[in-house]
Amino acid sequence: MAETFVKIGHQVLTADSPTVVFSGIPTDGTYTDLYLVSQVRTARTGQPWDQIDILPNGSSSNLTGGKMYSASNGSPTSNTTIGNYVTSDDATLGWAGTLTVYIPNYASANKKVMSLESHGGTSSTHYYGMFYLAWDNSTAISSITLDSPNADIASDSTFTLYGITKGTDGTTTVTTS
Amino acid sequence: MPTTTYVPLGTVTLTASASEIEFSSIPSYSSLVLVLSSKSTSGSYDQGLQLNGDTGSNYNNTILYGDGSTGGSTTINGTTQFYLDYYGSVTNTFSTSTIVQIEAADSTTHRKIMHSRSNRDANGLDFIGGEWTDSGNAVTSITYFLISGTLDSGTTASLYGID
Repeated sequence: MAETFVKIGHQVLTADSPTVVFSGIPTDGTYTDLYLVSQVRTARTGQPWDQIDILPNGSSSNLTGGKMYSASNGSPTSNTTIGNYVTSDDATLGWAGTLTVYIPNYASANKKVMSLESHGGTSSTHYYGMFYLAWDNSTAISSITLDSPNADIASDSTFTLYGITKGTDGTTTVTTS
Repeated sequence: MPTTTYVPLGTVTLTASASEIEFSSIPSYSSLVLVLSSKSTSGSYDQGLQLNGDTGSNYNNTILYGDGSTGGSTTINGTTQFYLDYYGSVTNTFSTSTIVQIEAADSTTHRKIMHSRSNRDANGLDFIGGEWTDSGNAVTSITYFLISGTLDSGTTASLYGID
Protein backbone atom coordinates (compact mmCIF):
# COMPACT_ATOMS: atom_id res chain seq x y z
CA MET A 1 0.00 0.00 0.00
CA ALA A 2 1.36 3.37 -0.99
CA GLU A 3 2.64 5.61 1.73
CA THR A 4 2.42 9.36 1.63
CA PHE A 5 3.10 12.25 3.97
CA VAL A 6 6.87 11.89 3.64
CA LYS A 7 9.20 14.11 5.64
CA ILE A 8 11.37 15.83 3.05
CA GLY A 9 12.99 18.51 5.15
CA HIS A 10 13.57 19.37 8.79
CA GLN A 11 15.36 22.32 10.31
CA VAL A 12 16.02 23.34 13.89
CA LEU A 13 17.61 26.76 14.20
CA THR A 14 20.74 26.81 16.32
CA ALA A 15 21.05 30.59 16.02
CA ASP A 16 18.72 33.46 15.25
CA SER A 17 18.13 33.89 11.52
CA PRO A 18 16.09 36.31 9.39
CA THR A 19 14.95 33.51 7.08
CA VAL A 20 14.48 29.77 6.84
CA VAL A 21 14.63 28.24 3.39
CA PHE A 22 13.55 24.86 2.06
CA SER A 23 14.97 24.45 -1.43
CA GLY A 24 15.25 21.67 -3.96
CA ILE A 25 11.66 20.62 -3.46
CA PRO A 26 10.90 17.99 -6.15
CA THR A 27 8.60 19.22 -8.90
CA ASP A 28 8.66 16.01 -10.94
CA GLY A 29 5.40 14.62 -9.55
CA THR A 30 7.02 12.75 -6.67
CA TYR A 31 4.72 14.76 -4.42
CA THR A 32 1.53 16.60 -5.21
CA ASP A 33 0.97 18.63 -2.04
CA LEU A 34 3.21 20.16 0.61
CA TYR A 35 2.61 20.53 4.32
CA LEU A 36 4.81 22.62 6.58
CA VAL A 37 4.64 22.33 10.33
CA SER A 38 6.57 24.71 12.54
CA GLN A 39 7.03 25.70 16.12
CA VAL A 40 8.34 29.19 15.87
CA ARG A 41 9.10 32.32 17.78
CA THR A 42 10.96 35.45 16.79
CA ALA A 43 13.32 37.79 18.58
CA ARG A 44 10.83 40.64 18.46
CA THR A 45 10.29 42.28 21.79
CA GLY A 46 7.49 44.41 23.11
CA GLN A 47 4.75 42.56 21.25
CA PRO A 48 3.08 39.24 21.94
CA TRP A 49 2.96 38.46 18.24
CA ASP A 50 5.05 38.74 15.12
CA GLN A 51 4.74 37.86 11.48
CA ILE A 52 6.30 35.28 9.25
CA ASP A 53 5.97 35.77 5.50
CA ILE A 54 5.83 32.80 3.15
CA LEU A 55 7.69 33.44 -0.10
CA PRO A 56 7.22 30.76 -2.78
CA ASN A 57 10.43 30.43 -4.79
CA GLY A 58 11.66 33.40 -2.78
CA SER A 59 9.17 35.69 -4.49
CA SER A 60 7.10 38.38 -2.85
CA SER A 61 5.35 39.22 -6.15
CA ASN A 62 1.91 38.12 -7.29
CA LEU A 63 0.90 37.28 -3.74
CA THR A 64 -2.50 38.06 -2.33
CA GLY A 65 -3.98 36.92 0.90
CA GLY A 66 -6.50 37.26 3.65
CA LYS A 67 -6.96 36.30 7.19
CA MET A 68 -9.40 35.79 10.01
CA TYR A 69 -8.01 36.01 13.50
CA SER A 70 -8.88 36.54 17.08
CA ALA A 71 -6.93 37.82 20.04
CA SER A 72 -7.63 36.06 23.32
CA ASN A 73 -11.37 36.25 23.86
CA GLY A 74 -11.99 38.97 21.28
CA SER A 75 -14.36 38.72 18.34
CA PRO A 76 -12.90 37.46 15.09
CA THR A 77 -11.49 40.06 12.72
CA SER A 78 -10.76 39.80 9.03
CA ASN A 79 -8.63 41.70 6.53
CA THR A 80 -6.78 41.14 3.29
CA THR A 81 -3.20 41.90 4.19
CA ILE A 82 -0.64 39.20 3.63
CA GLY A 83 2.07 38.16 5.97
CA ASN A 84 1.36 39.16 9.54
CA TYR A 85 1.10 35.56 10.61
CA VAL A 86 0.92 35.68 14.33
CA THR A 87 3.66 33.94 16.18
CA SER A 88 5.11 34.68 19.53
CA ASP A 89 8.05 36.74 20.60
CA ASP A 90 10.75 35.49 22.89
CA ALA A 91 9.75 37.56 25.87
CA THR A 92 8.46 34.43 27.52
CA LEU A 93 11.07 31.73 27.19
CA GLY A 94 9.71 28.31 26.58
CA TRP A 95 6.73 29.62 24.70
CA ALA A 96 6.54 29.13 20.97
CA GLY A 97 3.84 29.73 18.46
CA THR A 98 2.80 27.35 15.72
CA LEU A 99 2.45 27.87 12.01
CA THR A 100 1.16 25.29 9.55
CA VAL A 101 0.94 25.69 5.80
CA TYR A 102 -0.84 23.34 3.37
CA ILE A 103 -0.11 23.83 -0.33
CA PRO A 104 -2.24 21.69 -2.64
CA ASN A 105 -1.02 21.08 -6.18
CA TYR A 106 2.17 23.03 -5.58
CA ALA A 107 3.63 22.07 -8.96
CA SER A 108 0.52 23.06 -10.90
CA ALA A 109 0.57 25.77 -13.55
CA ASN A 110 -2.57 27.20 -11.94
CA LYS A 111 -2.75 29.73 -9.14
CA LYS A 112 -1.57 28.13 -5.91
CA VAL A 113 -3.93 28.81 -2.99
CA MET A 114 -2.31 27.94 0.34
CA SER A 115 -4.13 27.31 3.60
CA LEU A 116 -2.41 28.50 6.77
CA GLU A 117 -3.12 28.46 10.47
CA SER A 118 -1.14 29.90 13.30
CA HIS A 119 -1.20 30.45 17.01
CA GLY A 120 1.04 32.61 19.09
CA GLY A 121 1.32 35.02 21.93
CA THR A 122 2.16 34.78 25.56
CA SER A 123 0.50 33.12 28.48
CA SER A 124 -1.74 36.16 28.89
CA THR A 125 -2.46 37.14 25.29
CA HIS A 126 -3.17 34.58 22.59
CA TYR A 127 -3.64 35.10 18.91
CA TYR A 128 -5.16 32.48 16.68
CA GLY A 129 -5.47 33.00 12.98
CA MET A 130 -6.50 31.33 9.76
CA PHE A 131 -5.01 32.65 6.55
CA TYR A 132 -4.88 32.04 2.88
CA LEU A 133 -2.10 33.02 0.56
CA ALA A 134 -2.53 32.88 -3.21
CA TRP A 135 0.44 32.90 -5.55
CA ASP A 136 -0.65 33.72 -9.09
CA ASN A 137 2.28 32.23 -10.94
CA SER A 138 2.43 29.30 -13.35
CA THR A 139 5.81 28.15 -12.04
CA ALA A 140 6.01 25.11 -9.79
CA ILE A 141 7.08 25.80 -6.24
CA SER A 142 10.59 24.44 -5.77
CA SER A 143 11.53 26.43 -2.68
CA ILE A 144 9.82 28.00 0.29
CA THR A 145 11.31 30.90 2.20
CA LEU A 146 10.00 31.85 5.61
CA ASP A 147 10.91 35.46 6.16
CA SER A 148 10.60 37.42 9.37
CA PRO A 149 10.68 41.13 8.50
CA ASN A 150 10.55 42.57 12.01
CA ALA A 151 13.08 40.50 13.87
CA ASP A 152 15.04 37.31 13.41
CA ILE A 153 13.43 33.94 13.74
CA ALA A 154 14.70 32.74 17.07
CA SER A 155 16.95 29.78 17.69
CA ASP A 156 15.24 26.52 18.64
CA SER A 157 12.44 27.25 16.18
CA THR A 158 11.62 24.03 14.36
CA PHE A 159 10.36 23.52 10.83
CA THR A 160 9.35 20.28 9.13
CA LEU A 161 8.26 19.98 5.53
CA TYR A 162 6.26 17.01 4.30
CA GLY A 163 5.53 15.89 0.78
CA ILE A 164 2.13 14.35 0.15
CA THR A 165 1.34 12.12 -2.79
CA LYS A 166 -2.17 11.54 -3.97
CA GLY A 167 -3.04 8.18 -5.43
CA THR A 168 -5.37 5.20 -5.28
CA ASP A 169 -5.70 2.19 -3.00
CA GLY A 170 -7.28 -0.11 -5.56
CA THR A 171 -10.48 -0.37 -3.54
CA THR A 172 -11.99 3.08 -3.49
CA THR A 173 -13.78 3.98 -6.70
CA VAL A 174 -13.94 7.48 -8.13
CA THR A 175 -16.68 8.35 -10.58
CA THR A 176 -17.88 11.58 -12.12
CA SER A 177 -21.22 12.42 -13.62
CA MET B 1 6.21 -2.04 12.54
CA PRO B 2 4.55 1.39 12.43
CA THR B 3 1.11 1.52 10.89
CA THR B 4 0.99 3.15 7.49
CA THR B 5 -1.38 6.07 7.63
CA TYR B 6 -2.52 9.01 5.57
CA VAL B 7 -3.17 6.48 2.85
CA PRO B 8 -4.10 7.82 -0.59
CA LEU B 9 -7.47 6.27 -1.44
CA GLY B 10 -8.50 7.92 -4.67
CA THR B 11 -7.89 10.95 -6.83
CA VAL B 12 -9.32 12.52 -9.91
CA THR B 13 -8.56 15.44 -12.16
CA LEU B 14 -11.57 16.25 -14.27
CA THR B 15 -10.96 16.11 -17.99
CA ALA B 16 -14.45 17.43 -18.71
CA SER B 17 -17.08 19.32 -16.77
CA ALA B 18 -19.09 17.31 -14.23
CA SER B 19 -21.96 17.80 -11.83
CA GLU B 20 -20.37 15.75 -9.09
CA ILE B 21 -17.43 13.61 -8.02
CA GLU B 22 -18.17 10.48 -6.03
CA PHE B 23 -15.75 8.38 -4.00
CA SER B 24 -17.34 5.01 -3.21
CA SER B 25 -16.34 1.66 -1.67
CA ILE B 26 -14.24 3.61 0.84
CA PRO B 27 -12.53 1.22 3.30
CA SER B 28 -12.75 1.67 7.05
CA TYR B 29 -10.67 4.56 8.39
CA SER B 30 -11.20 6.59 11.52
CA SER B 31 -10.69 9.84 9.60
CA LEU B 32 -10.96 10.81 5.97
CA VAL B 33 -9.31 13.85 4.38
CA LEU B 34 -10.48 15.33 1.09
CA VAL B 35 -8.30 17.93 -0.64
CA LEU B 36 -9.95 20.02 -3.35
CA SER B 37 -8.75 22.53 -5.93
CA SER B 38 -11.89 23.48 -7.76
CA LYS B 39 -13.12 25.55 -10.65
CA SER B 40 -16.65 26.17 -11.92
CA THR B 41 -17.65 26.36 -15.55
CA SER B 42 -19.01 29.85 -14.83
CA GLY B 43 -20.15 31.90 -11.89
CA SER B 44 -19.57 31.51 -8.16
CA TYR B 45 -21.01 28.61 -6.19
CA ASP B 46 -20.79 27.11 -2.73
CA GLN B 47 -19.44 23.61 -2.36
CA GLY B 48 -21.50 20.75 -0.96
CA LEU B 49 -20.74 17.28 0.34
CA GLN B 50 -23.01 14.33 1.02
CA LEU B 51 -22.17 11.10 2.82
CA ASN B 52 -23.41 7.66 1.78
CA GLY B 53 -25.73 9.27 -0.75
CA ASP B 54 -27.88 10.78 2.00
CA THR B 55 -29.95 13.59 0.47
CA GLY B 56 -32.10 14.14 3.55
CA SER B 57 -32.02 17.20 5.79
CA ASN B 58 -29.48 15.57 8.06
CA TYR B 59 -26.54 17.95 7.96
CA ASN B 60 -25.76 20.71 10.45
CA ASN B 61 -23.19 23.41 9.80
CA THR B 62 -21.55 25.92 12.14
CA ILE B 63 -19.60 28.49 10.18
CA LEU B 64 -16.75 30.80 11.15
CA TYR B 65 -15.91 33.18 8.35
CA GLY B 66 -13.80 36.12 7.29
CA ASP B 67 -14.63 38.14 4.20
CA GLY B 68 -11.61 40.39 4.20
CA SER B 69 -13.16 43.10 6.34
CA THR B 70 -15.39 41.35 8.85
CA GLY B 71 -15.15 38.16 10.81
CA GLY B 72 -18.20 36.39 12.12
CA SER B 73 -20.09 33.20 12.58
CA THR B 74 -23.41 31.67 11.70
CA THR B 75 -25.22 28.36 11.81
CA ILE B 76 -27.14 26.58 9.06
CA ASN B 77 -28.79 23.42 10.29
CA GLY B 78 -31.00 20.81 8.71
CA THR B 79 -29.49 21.12 5.25
CA THR B 80 -29.37 18.43 2.60
CA GLN B 81 -25.58 18.58 2.38
CA PHE B 82 -22.58 19.78 4.27
CA TYR B 83 -21.60 23.30 3.33
CA LEU B 84 -17.86 23.34 2.70
CA ASP B 85 -17.61 27.10 2.40
CA TYR B 86 -19.32 30.41 3.07
CA TYR B 87 -17.00 32.99 1.51
CA GLY B 88 -14.49 30.44 0.24
CA SER B 89 -16.70 29.56 -2.70
CA VAL B 90 -15.66 28.35 -6.15
CA THR B 91 -15.34 30.52 -9.26
CA ASN B 92 -14.35 29.96 -12.86
CA THR B 93 -10.70 30.55 -12.04
CA PHE B 94 -8.52 28.34 -9.89
CA SER B 95 -8.82 30.59 -6.88
CA THR B 96 -10.18 28.22 -4.25
CA SER B 97 -8.62 25.48 -2.17
CA THR B 98 -10.56 23.43 0.33
CA ILE B 99 -9.47 20.80 2.82
CA VAL B 100 -12.14 18.63 4.43
CA GLN B 101 -11.69 16.21 7.31
CA ILE B 102 -14.37 13.73 8.40
CA GLU B 103 -13.97 12.30 11.88
CA ALA B 104 -15.39 9.05 13.22
CA ALA B 105 -15.83 7.95 9.63
CA ASP B 106 -15.73 4.28 10.58
CA SER B 107 -18.03 4.56 13.58
CA THR B 108 -21.37 2.78 13.68
CA THR B 109 -22.30 4.38 16.99
CA HIS B 110 -21.30 8.03 16.70
CA ARG B 111 -22.41 10.91 14.53
CA LYS B 112 -19.84 11.94 11.95
CA ILE B 113 -18.13 15.29 12.39
CA MET B 114 -16.86 17.27 9.42
CA HIS B 115 -14.32 20.10 9.44
CA SER B 116 -13.87 22.16 6.32
CA ARG B 117 -11.31 24.85 5.68
CA SER B 118 -11.91 26.78 2.46
CA ASN B 119 -9.97 29.67 0.95
CA ARG B 120 -10.96 31.81 -2.01
CA ASP B 121 -8.54 34.40 -3.25
CA ALA B 122 -9.88 37.97 -3.04
CA ASN B 123 -13.09 36.86 -1.35
CA GLY B 124 -12.54 35.23 2.01
CA LEU B 125 -11.97 32.12 4.03
CA ASP B 126 -14.02 29.88 6.28
CA PHE B 127 -13.79 27.21 8.91
CA ILE B 128 -16.92 25.08 9.11
CA GLY B 129 -17.74 22.42 11.64
CA GLY B 130 -20.45 20.08 10.48
CA GLU B 131 -22.39 17.15 11.85
CA TRP B 132 -24.09 14.34 9.97
CA THR B 133 -26.88 13.12 12.20
CA ASP B 134 -26.62 9.51 11.06
CA SER B 135 -24.81 7.57 13.75
CA GLY B 136 -25.40 3.99 12.67
CA ASN B 137 -23.47 3.78 9.45
CA ALA B 138 -19.79 4.09 8.62
CA VAL B 139 -18.93 6.37 5.76
CA THR B 140 -18.51 4.35 2.58
CA SER B 141 -19.13 7.03 -0.03
CA ILE B 142 -18.58 10.77 -0.41
CA THR B 143 -20.17 12.92 -3.07
CA TYR B 144 -18.71 16.34 -3.81
CA PHE B 145 -20.45 18.97 -5.93
CA LEU B 146 -21.13 22.64 -6.42
CA ILE B 147 -24.52 23.67 -5.12
CA SER B 148 -26.41 24.63 -8.31
CA GLY B 149 -23.15 24.82 -10.27
CA THR B 150 -20.97 22.66 -12.49
CA LEU B 151 -17.38 21.64 -11.84
CA ASP B 152 -15.02 22.43 -14.67
CA SER B 153 -12.21 20.51 -16.29
CA GLY B 154 -9.03 20.66 -14.25
CA THR B 155 -10.76 20.39 -10.88
CA THR B 156 -8.85 17.99 -8.64
CA ALA B 157 -10.14 15.95 -5.71
CA SER B 158 -7.97 13.63 -3.64
CA LEU B 159 -9.08 11.44 -0.74
CA TYR B 160 -6.90 10.08 2.06
CA GLY B 161 -7.57 7.73 4.96
CA ILE B 162 -6.14 8.12 8.46
CA ASP B 163 -6.11 5.55 11.25
